[in-house]
Amino acid sequence: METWLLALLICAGYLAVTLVMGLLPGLKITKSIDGYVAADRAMGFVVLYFVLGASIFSSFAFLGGPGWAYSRGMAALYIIAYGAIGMVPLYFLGPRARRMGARHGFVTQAELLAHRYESQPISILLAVLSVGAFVPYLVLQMKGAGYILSTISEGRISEAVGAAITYGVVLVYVLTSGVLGVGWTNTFQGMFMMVVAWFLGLYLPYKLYGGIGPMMEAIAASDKAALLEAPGLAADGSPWTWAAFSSAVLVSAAGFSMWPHFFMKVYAAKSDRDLRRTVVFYPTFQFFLVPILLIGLTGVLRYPGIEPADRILPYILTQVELSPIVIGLVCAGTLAASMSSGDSILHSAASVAIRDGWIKIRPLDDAGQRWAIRVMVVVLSLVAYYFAVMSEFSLVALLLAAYGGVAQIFPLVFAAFYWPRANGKGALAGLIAGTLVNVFFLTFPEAKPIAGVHEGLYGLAANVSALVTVSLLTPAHAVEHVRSYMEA
Amino acid sequence: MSGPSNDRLPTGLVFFRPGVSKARRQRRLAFLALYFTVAACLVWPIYPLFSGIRPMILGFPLSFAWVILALFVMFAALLALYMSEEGDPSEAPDEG
Repeated sequence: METWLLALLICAGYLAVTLVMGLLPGLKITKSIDGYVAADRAMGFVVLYFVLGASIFSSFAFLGGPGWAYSRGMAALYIIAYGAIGMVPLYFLGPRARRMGARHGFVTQAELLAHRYESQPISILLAVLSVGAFVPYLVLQMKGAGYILSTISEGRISEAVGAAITYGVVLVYVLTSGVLGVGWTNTFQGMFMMVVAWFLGLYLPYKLYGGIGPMMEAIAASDKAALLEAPGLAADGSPWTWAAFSSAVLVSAAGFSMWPHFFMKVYAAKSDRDLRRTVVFYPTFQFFLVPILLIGLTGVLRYPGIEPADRILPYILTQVELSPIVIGLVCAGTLAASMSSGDSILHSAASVAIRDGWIKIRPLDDAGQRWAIRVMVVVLSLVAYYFAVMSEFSLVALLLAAYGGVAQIFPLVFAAFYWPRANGKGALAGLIAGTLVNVFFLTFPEAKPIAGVHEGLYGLAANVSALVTVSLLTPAHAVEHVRSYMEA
Repeated sequence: MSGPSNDRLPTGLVFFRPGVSKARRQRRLAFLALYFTVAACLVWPIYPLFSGIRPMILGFPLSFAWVILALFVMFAALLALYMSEEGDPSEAPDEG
C-alpha cells in the first residue's frame, strides 16, 4: 500500500476512536449546565490531568515548538521555564476557587470574579476579551489540522477539507457531551501526543546523529553554536535579549493558569485532593516539551533553511526513512494536539459567551442556556473556520496580544482571595488599565521604556497600581462577603 | 498573617485562613521561598550565569539542563508539599 494512503488510514482510525471516546460520556452527564460545562463537578485525577495537559499543548507542540527550537534555539526554553512556575499558583488558588464554585454554582472564571467584586461589567468585559482571544487561537488549531491532513495526503485532501473533517468530529462530541467529551478525548489524545513526542524526540537524534549528546556536540562545533546558548535567537536571527526572555517567562507564567478555558476546569474537579494532585503531577506532562525541542534541533544541521520554521517536523518526516505506520501515527498525534486544545477552547468560548455575556443582558433558564451554548459552539466554529480557510488576516498578532492580555487576569484572581481590601472599582480599573497598556505597547513597541521587555509586564505594573490605588480610595465590600473568600 | 477580626477588614494581604496550624504555615512559606528562588533562577540575572553550552550534562548543553533541573526541582517540591499536607492526620487535606 502507498505511504500516503496507509498514513491517511491511520489518521482516519484515530479520528474514529476519538469520535467514539467523545460520544460515550454524553450518556453519563446530567442534562444541566453543571453537567455540560463543569462535568457535574465530578472529574477525577486522571481525566483532569490530561484535560489540563492536553488543552495547553496545542498544535503548537508539534509545529511551532520544534520550529522555535530549529530557528531560535534555546529561546524555546522559555516555554519550559514558564511552565515550571506557571502552574503552581493553582495549587493554592484552585481549591479555593473550586469550593466557591461548588457553593455558588460558578462554572466560569468571570462568574467568580463578578461575584467577589460584585461587578457585572467585569463579567461582560472578560467575556468579550476571552472570546476575542479564543477565536484566533481556534483558527490556528484548525489551520494546523488542515495543514497536516493536506501534507500527509500529498495534497489530495485540501487544507479546507482537512480542517472541516477534523473539526466536524470535534463539533459532534462537544455538542453531545460537553466538557466530559473534551475530558475523555483529551485523555486519549494526551497519551497519544506524549508517546509520539517521546518516540520522535529520542529516535530522530539517534537516527540522524547517533544520540542526543553527539547531536548537541555537532551543533556546538558548527557555526550554529549560538542556538545552544540561552536565551537563544530572536525571530530575525539576532541574539535574543535577557530582558525579552525574562519578561516573557514572567508574563507567561502569570497568565498560564489564567486562561479562561484552563481555569474553569477547576470547577470540574471532584475534590480539592484531585485538583492538587493534578497540579503536583503536571510537571510530568511538561517534560514532554523536552523531546519536542529535540525534534526541532535535529533539523538544524541536516535540513537548514526550511521556511517557515514550523514546517520543520513535517519536512523531516518526508526526508527520514520511517515506516508509513509511524508517519501516520505522528500525523495523528499532531491532529490530537490540535483537537485537544481546539475542543476545550471551543467549548469554553461558547460557555463564556453565554454565561458571562449573553445572560447578563437577557436571562435564560438552565435548559435555555444549554441550548444557547450549543448554538454558540456552532456559530464560533463557523466563524473560526471562515478565518482559517478564507482569510489571510494575520492572527498571530492577535494571539500575541492575547498572551499579555490573559496575564492581566492574574492580579484580580490573586486579590480576590488574598487581598480583602480589593474591591470592584479597583478590579475593573486594574483590568482596563492593564489591558490598555498591554495593547498600547504591543502596537507601539518603540515606545517601551526598556526595549524588549514584554508588553504584558508593563500591563501588569499598570494593572496592580490601578487595582491598589482605586481600591484604597473607594469603599471596601461588606466584611461578611469578603470573608467568605478569605476563608474559602 | 493573622485572621480577620469580626468587624473590619485587614488592609494587608491575608494568606491563611484563621485556625491554620503553625506547622502548615511554615511549610507553605518554606515552599514559597523555594518557589521564588526557582523562578529567579529562570530569569535574569541568575540564569545568565548558567546559560552557556558547557559543561554538557547527559548530552544536554548547560543552558538546557538548567531549565530541566528547575522543572525537576519544582516537581519534587510540589510533591513534598502535597505529601506533607496529605500525610498529616491532624489536618484535613481539603483545608487551605
